[in-house]
Amino acid sequence: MRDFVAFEPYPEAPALIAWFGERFGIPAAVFADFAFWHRAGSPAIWMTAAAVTPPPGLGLEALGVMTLRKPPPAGKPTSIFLMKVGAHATRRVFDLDDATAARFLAREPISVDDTETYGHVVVRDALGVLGCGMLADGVLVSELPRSWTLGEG
Amino acid sequence: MSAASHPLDWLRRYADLVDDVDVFLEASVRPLPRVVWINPLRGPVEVTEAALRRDFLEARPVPWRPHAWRLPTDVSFAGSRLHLGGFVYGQEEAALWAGDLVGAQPGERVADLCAAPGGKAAQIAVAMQDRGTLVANDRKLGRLAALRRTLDRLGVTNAAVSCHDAAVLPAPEGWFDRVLADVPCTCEGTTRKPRSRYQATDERYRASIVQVQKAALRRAVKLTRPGGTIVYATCTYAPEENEGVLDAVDPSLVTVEPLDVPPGLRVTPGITAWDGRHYRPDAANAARLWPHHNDTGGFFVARLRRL
Repeated sequence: MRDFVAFEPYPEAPALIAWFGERFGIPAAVFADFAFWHRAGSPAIWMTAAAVTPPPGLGLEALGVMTLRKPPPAGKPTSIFLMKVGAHATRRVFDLDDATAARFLAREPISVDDTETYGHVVVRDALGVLGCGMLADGVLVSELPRSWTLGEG
Repeated sequence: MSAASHPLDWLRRYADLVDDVDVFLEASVRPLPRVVWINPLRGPVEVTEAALRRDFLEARPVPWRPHAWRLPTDVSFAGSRLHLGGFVYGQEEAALWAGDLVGAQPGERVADLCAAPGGKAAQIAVAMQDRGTLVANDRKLGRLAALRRTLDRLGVTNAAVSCHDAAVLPAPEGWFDRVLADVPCTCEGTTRKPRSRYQATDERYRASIVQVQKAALRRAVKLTRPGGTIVYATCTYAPEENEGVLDAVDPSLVTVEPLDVPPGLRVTPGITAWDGRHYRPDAANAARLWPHHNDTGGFFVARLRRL
């Protein structure tokens, strides 16, 4: 029998929400619909819909979506997290046309007109958030899970 | 092809359950159409449907199910933007009905006991509008990655993923409003899927999997609150794995309810006697889907009310 560590409400949620506001311009009100969780002994932070109640006694492998594997500023926001809230981002956002989005999904480096911004950014196309990108020296690269690469299945 | 040489000749075991066994066998070797449903958790349904019709000109609506589309068998959509972004999910058309029959509502507590790879769990989360609590469980640790990938890709945030034997799922009894037991089976209804092996079922395997099915359904019943709903589903025709499993639940705990069959979907009722065995009378309220009736895979589904 495996030992399971229970998910608990993440006590630093207000600071985390403030950081998402500063970093990406996501309004705090967006997070009223969500709750953050963590497990003792693990740095990862998870996000669920607000009213999720894990059944008592049920050992879990995952709860909602993984948000960050480490708390900020070290942690990279996961693409699945940004796909939930990145539509509300106003900073560190790159909106790509369809052709460029396809190249991004194929993991090609994309040159962008911004050599000031460094680090993780929200990448979107006309349909919505594509996921997390890494921007350095005006070159944007995909941080999406490799298994999501366009054209593979 | 003469009847005797048909590669699925062993499916003649079900000749007295089906209207035309030869048509049934011929349909069972034809490749399945691809079916995708639109995921409202990723964006407005109309926008995604417009994108689907633009990218896949061959897409045709499933006649009995809103927001589900048939694509030709040979269309590759797995690497498409719509798939990767979780805007659509590819699922066997017959299985889609089982997920719908759970009837999950926003804010409820729902469990899918054998959830990998996650299509029906995601369908349930959509019905719940991503509110409430969904437990998506699967016994196989190796299948959890696929389950989590589905829920992540489709933007489900109300799911708790667990890895336990459904028969002993350690959640409180009576905790759930609805439980789906879409159990492992001999998969006799999946011969139209790619890479099907057409191998006749080993009856010793059937006998062992029936015990797994009965244990899972009994646990599903225990986990459901009085008045709650249990959906039992398999992708096989065999009465032993279907009506026979319903029969193994204490009749004082559940009734098998009549199903609302959507217009345009053809099913046959459950049976109450077969091959010398008799099953509970309300098993007639269950339903079988045959490949040649709706151009789908084969499926069995029953909805039970917890007393």
